[in-house]
Amino acid sequence: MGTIIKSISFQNFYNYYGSYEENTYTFKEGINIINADNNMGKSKFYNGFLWILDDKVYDSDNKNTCSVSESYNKMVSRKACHERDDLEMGVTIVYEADDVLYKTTKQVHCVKDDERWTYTPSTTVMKTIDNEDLPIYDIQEQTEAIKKLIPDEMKKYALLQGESMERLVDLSTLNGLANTINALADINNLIKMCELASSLVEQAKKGYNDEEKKNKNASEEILKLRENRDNLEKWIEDATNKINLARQEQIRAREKEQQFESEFFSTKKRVQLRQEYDNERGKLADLKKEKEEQELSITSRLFDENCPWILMGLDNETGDFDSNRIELTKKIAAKEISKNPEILLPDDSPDIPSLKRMLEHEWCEVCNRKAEKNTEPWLHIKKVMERPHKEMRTTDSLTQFYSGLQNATGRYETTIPNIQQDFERYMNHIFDLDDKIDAQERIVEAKENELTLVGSENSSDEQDRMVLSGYNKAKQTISNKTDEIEKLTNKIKIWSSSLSKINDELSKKQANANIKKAKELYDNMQIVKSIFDSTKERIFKEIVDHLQTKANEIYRDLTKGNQTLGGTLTFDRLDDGTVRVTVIDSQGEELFGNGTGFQRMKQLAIVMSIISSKVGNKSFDYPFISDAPFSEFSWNFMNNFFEIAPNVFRQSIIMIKDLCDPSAQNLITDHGDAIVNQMKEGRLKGTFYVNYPETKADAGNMVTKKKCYTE
Amino acid sequence: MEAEQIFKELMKSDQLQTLNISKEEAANATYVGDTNNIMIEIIKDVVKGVVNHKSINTVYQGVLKKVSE
Repeated sequence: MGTIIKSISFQNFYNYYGSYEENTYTFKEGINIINADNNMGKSKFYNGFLWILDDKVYDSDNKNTCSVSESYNKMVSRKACHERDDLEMGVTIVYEADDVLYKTTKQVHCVKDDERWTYTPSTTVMKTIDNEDLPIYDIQEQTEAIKKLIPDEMKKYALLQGESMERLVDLSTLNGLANTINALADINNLIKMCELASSLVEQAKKGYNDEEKKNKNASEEILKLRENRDNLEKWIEDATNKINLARQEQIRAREKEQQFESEFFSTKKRVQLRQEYDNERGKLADLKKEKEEQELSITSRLFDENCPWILMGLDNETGDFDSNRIELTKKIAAKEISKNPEILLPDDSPDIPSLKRMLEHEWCEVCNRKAEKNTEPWLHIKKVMERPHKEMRTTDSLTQFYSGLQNATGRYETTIPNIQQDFERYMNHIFDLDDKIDAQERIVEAKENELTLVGSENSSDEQDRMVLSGYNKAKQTISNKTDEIEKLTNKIKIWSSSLSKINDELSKKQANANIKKAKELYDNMQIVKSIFDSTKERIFKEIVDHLQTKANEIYRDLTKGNQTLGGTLTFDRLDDGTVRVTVIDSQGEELFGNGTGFQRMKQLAIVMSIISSKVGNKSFDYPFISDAPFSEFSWNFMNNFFEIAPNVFRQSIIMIKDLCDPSAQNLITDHGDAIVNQMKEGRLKGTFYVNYPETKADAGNMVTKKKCYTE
Repeated sequence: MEAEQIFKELMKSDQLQTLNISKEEAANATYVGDTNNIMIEIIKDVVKGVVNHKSINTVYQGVLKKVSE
């Protein structure tokens, strides 16, 4: 029983150029690995399955899934298009389901006319019974035959695209894990029975109320009790409706929370890093500004009033200036003296009265000898007395001028020796700023690298802030709705207690047999409904528990040998009927911030637990097809997967690049070699292919060839 | 899950006793056979109502008939 894919073939499909025969990959039970380096056709290979199953392809450029009818021009081999104007492009999958062999082909006839291509799609499905090939023409039957490959409700677990792995975290949505569990347990009928039992309760209640109304002899007291009962029932009904509404809003908020949760930690990290980056850049800008200001201050420093750098190096010049001035004054004086030797006498010595007295007395008091009138000594005294004073004033002015200069430079005598020191201090500060700028530039660069590592190039600050605010808003809504539900539930409890008392009183007071009988049926139908509901819940819980146990076994196996612990998966059934999967640490606290590898392992473990769960007669017996599931996995994770996958999937088809090494002679890594050997020795069931380019070409004209290592 | 299996699961409920269905009666009840317990038969009517795609009213009339017999 179950489904096994025997082969997939491509014809002029993307870079699978050529006929179906040239591009056939045959598969076995176990693990089938298609290794392809970047651009070597992994996602295109996966698209072959998507086309057959869903008429869709994954567009790696736009990172979304789109209809094949919009993508024919991208799907058809460029090389084939350049060679011919009329060609076929298609995919064929041969698979065995429930002992019947099916061959499904989806093909497009491509014709170029007036530089425009037209595409005519067709689907053929054949089934082989007892070696007889029977075509299926009915479209409905064709669809049913294709569904045997992988049923709709299991597609999201059986078809995994690595990049969409995180999106599997819709596990808490009503259409997510809860529906899968219903499908696994096949309790959809039981759910309908619960709904029918609930409708029967309503009918029984109506019957009971009708019987009451028929009784016209009811006392005032009974009528009052009925009115109170009806009011309480109405309030309880209204409150219950409000709770249901609140739960719906809570589910939507939880879905949002889940959507954002996978991005939350990397987003938070990005926002924090951006803030740090901006701070560091701010510091760098401040340092550069400080340096610029310092450099601009040179002009003012050159002519600073107190410490002008322009005087740098003139330390002894004021002293020299003083000596030079004295020297110069002496020289000028000597020159004057040579013209007027009397000038040698001090300006006011001998004084005029003394000289007059010497002339009158005809006696030189300086030489203390006679100086008769009109003799040479007398005339000399007279000349001295009458010596010119104007010329001497010239000498005075010069002295004053130089004294002024002396005074002006005098105050720099103490500061000039400090200029060199001041300048050195300044230059050291500039050098210090240069060092600080260099160091800060390295910090900014490091922050920039950190930002790149957390994906800042793919997400703007605005987008990240939206994620954070969306996540926080969702959390707030969940919390608000929880409070609202709690308050309403408490009210319902109080009202139900009052209602119960009123019903007891009414039962005692309403003696009419028909009313009693109708009431009894109403009560019993409520118990019947409760039996159906609790049975459904019990079965659901059993499956949740089973999945939790199984998922943890697988999670443990997948993460074994890792240096950090991945935590424990817990599946919580929430009041709103959804199932939430969280990871808790050894202290029972929710574990956040595991790396992408662990997050994907969690997803994979849940998927594998669902797939490997056998509930009742139901089991997942379909191929597991995945494109790049390991892109964030270490070799340890991958190896663990290869070890346990055969116990979970009867057949898996995995497209990876991780075991590829284009520079190696055999095109595979040592790990790839080890897997091939295990397969050849029969220790691991499956096939191992490597895709390689026929010749080097640009992506548009690429032709992929394959090599099978296990034939 | 087949109707018979669902019925078996329902018969495991602890609440059956509040409908005067003893543990023994519940253990011996079969989906195909008849029992003397009206409530067990009413539970079967709900199961069969879904399996046979009967309307709510039809199922309810059947229940009324059973309790009035």
